[in-house]
Amino acid sequence: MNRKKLVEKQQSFYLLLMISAFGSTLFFGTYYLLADIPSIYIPTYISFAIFCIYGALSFFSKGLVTLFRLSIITASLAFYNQVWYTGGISSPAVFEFVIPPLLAFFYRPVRDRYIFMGVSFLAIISFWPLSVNGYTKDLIPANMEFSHSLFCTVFVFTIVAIFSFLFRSALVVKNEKLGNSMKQLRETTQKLVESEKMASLGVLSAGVTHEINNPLNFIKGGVEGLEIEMQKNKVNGLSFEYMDAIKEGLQRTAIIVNSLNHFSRQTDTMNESCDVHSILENCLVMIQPMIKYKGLVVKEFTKDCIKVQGNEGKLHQAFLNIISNAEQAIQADGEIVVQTRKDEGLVRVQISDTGMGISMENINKIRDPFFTTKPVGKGTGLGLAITYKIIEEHKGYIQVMSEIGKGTTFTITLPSIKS
Amino acid sequence: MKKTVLFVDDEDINLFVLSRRFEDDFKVLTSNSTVEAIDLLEKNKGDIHALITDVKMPDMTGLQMIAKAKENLNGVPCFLLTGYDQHEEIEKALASKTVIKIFKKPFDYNEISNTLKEHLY
Repeated sequence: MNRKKLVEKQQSFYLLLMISAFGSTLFFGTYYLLADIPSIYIPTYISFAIFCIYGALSFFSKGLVTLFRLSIITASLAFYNQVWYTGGISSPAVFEFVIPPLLAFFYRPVRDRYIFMGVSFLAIISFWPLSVNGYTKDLIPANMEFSHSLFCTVFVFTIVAIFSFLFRSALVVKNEKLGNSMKQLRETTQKLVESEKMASLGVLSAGVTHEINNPLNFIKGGVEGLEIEMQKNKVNGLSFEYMDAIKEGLQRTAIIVNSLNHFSRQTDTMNESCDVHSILENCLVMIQPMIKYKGLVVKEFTKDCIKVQGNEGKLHQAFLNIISNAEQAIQADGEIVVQTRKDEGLVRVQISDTGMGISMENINKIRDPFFTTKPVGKGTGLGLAITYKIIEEHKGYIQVMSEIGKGTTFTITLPSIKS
Repeated sequence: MKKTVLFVDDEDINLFVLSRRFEDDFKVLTSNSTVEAIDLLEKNKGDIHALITDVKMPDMTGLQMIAKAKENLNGVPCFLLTGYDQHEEIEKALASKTVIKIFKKPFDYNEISNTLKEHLY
């Protein structure tokens, strides 16, 4: 809680304390006036006057803590006087000493609560020897004893009820806030772990692709060599069909490894000449296993060669994020259209899906880090944040159009290399 | 007369496949160590007409090996074999013409063969 809110809260509690103080001093003052006990009603009215001064000061004072303390001390003294003249330890007013420590719960420092608890306890205990030795007096007339007991008890119960209810509701609000923060913290930690995993995966795949390329290399050499041998030795046609199957497998593996290579490339240079079509093709290879059972990918590439200056690995990551979001937005029988066009020194890439769409409320949040509507563990909320950053690094921008239930279109505009 | 090509790669199987594929058109020398390759280049100075080397190897990279054997490589066209797609040092080597071309793994053997023929004959 910030300081301003804390002060506001303390102010409202102090106001309540003042209202209770005015009410009770006036009431008891008048009651003892009717009972004609000046040794109680005069101090009670004096307390009322003192509370009036505190009330006036509270409008000017920024530090309410002193006023809280002074009010509690004043109330304690008034209680002490009241108990002294109404029978000491046997007075029904003795329970009023519960009130001062309770009031200390509404401001900080916390140690005041313990101090006032101690003071109240000592005050009650002190009446014991004083009453036994006859120092205290019982000035309440016999006919008013019942009403006196009743009013004292009702007063204590009312004050305790009001303030403990307030304290409880303040605690409930605090607990709720704490619970929410804990939940948020847990989710954020989970997301961080996920993003860390993805980052390690990138580093790992860089090494793995290099290692796979080596054996792929000699498989390819071996197959080609075998083919030449088979041709020399005039081996029959069926064997060539087997060779074709192996070659097809090889080619596909090579494409996948190559696209992984693009994904995991980690350099910081921004002056590579990046072929946008080749990057998009690679992304589509990577997304193919996920999309093939629930939709189609339509490529509408311009015939022009489009190149932008920047970092190919990063651009690959940016496009892959958008395309995989498109894939994830589609439940079944969907379509992803990837369109490219050249436009007066600009390259435009439009990625549309027929997925669930993004609500108006969320569309402004999609670029916020850690914002995600995916369940915990499924999305880190970092994908689009990174994508926006990458595209901005390439001096480009992203436009989004979306309709719930119909789909989303991302248009990425980048400056093209002048040919 | 067949021209001599030196292949350097720490993978023996790669060297085997390469030598078998190119032995009809070239005289093939192979080495699985950069240190040995530098030695070979010194001993056969003037007799080696092209060098094709892997980049990532245990003792030093292919590019470091080329730099070390610079004197013995006077005018000999050098080519790189690499599994990495793009690399700053490779880009520099290409720009400074230290290396003529890179062949990305898994490479196209016909492309290598044609490039070599183009540069050697």
